[in-house]
Amino acid sequence: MEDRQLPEELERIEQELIDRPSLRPPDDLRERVSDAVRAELQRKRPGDRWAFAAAVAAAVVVWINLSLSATQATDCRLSWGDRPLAVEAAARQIRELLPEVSDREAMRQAILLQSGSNLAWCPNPVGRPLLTKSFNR
Amino acid sequence: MNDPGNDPLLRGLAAGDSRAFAALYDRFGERLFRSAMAMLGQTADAEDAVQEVFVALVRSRKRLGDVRDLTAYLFTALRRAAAQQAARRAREPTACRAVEAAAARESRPAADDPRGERLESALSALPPEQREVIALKIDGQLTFAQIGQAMGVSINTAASRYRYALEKLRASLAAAECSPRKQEDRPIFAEKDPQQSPTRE
Repeated sequence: MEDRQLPEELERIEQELIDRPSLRPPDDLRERVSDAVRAELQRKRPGDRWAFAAAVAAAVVVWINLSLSATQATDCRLSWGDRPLAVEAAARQIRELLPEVSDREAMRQAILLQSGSNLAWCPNPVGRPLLTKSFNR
Repeated sequence: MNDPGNDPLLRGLAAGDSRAFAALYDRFGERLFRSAMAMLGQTADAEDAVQEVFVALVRSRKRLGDVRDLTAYLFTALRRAAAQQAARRAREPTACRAVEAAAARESRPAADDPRGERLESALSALPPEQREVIALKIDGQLTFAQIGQAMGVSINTAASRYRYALEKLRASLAAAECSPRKQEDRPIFAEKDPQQSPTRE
């Protein structure tokens, strides 16, 4: 591409352009440029700190999202396999009563019922709390 | 950071070594300055543009691994810096610009012969993109491929612009030789004054 031939007259003008006197850069320009380069190299850009903060924030958001997803998808090793017969029976009853409830949800409800039935007995408070009494008055 | 390859200069620039920037100035400083002078016409503006090229290079040093042709990259940066400089200059009041233009004319090296003066005058009358291509080819010593890269055009377009610029210079020189009136003798406000007829002597 560079060797495309110009007509003789244009070549002459090209040569005149090459030969024309031109300014040399001032001697202090090199120093000026070096100073500007050094200043720029030493300058701490405020954008860098913001970029770091944004990256940390993005990483935290991703981590929260992932942990929420993992929590939703994990059954927390509920004893699904060796559950007692009473739980199976309760789940079956729930499914019969509410056919629209899924197997998994029926089982979950049955386990909740079972765990509630295993709670220790505690005394039933007698009478009303003092505060309620005073309000009722 | 991208890998700046095996070129030690590029590696030094990417690492932020100020000696590499000094070496780069020694290699390209004069060509950049001459091109900037041809584009902007004023020493102060050309100096600012060259400085801006190096400062921009420091800022973007982490992306130097993507650079295939450092010369074209530098002159692309120079074009951008020159455009910014010209825009800044255009926002200045007209009187300041005229005074600085007059000072720039005085600081420019005088041509030895009337033809040289006419050549300078014809050069400054070229459209900006043709003046740019002359600046990059003659003063920057770029190839057409590098000019194309710097100007964002194809090699053929760069070569055509160069040829059109030379043809325009030839026509201007031929016209000036027929009417040897010196452009520099005109008052500096002549172009801007609507009251003044362009044909009035």
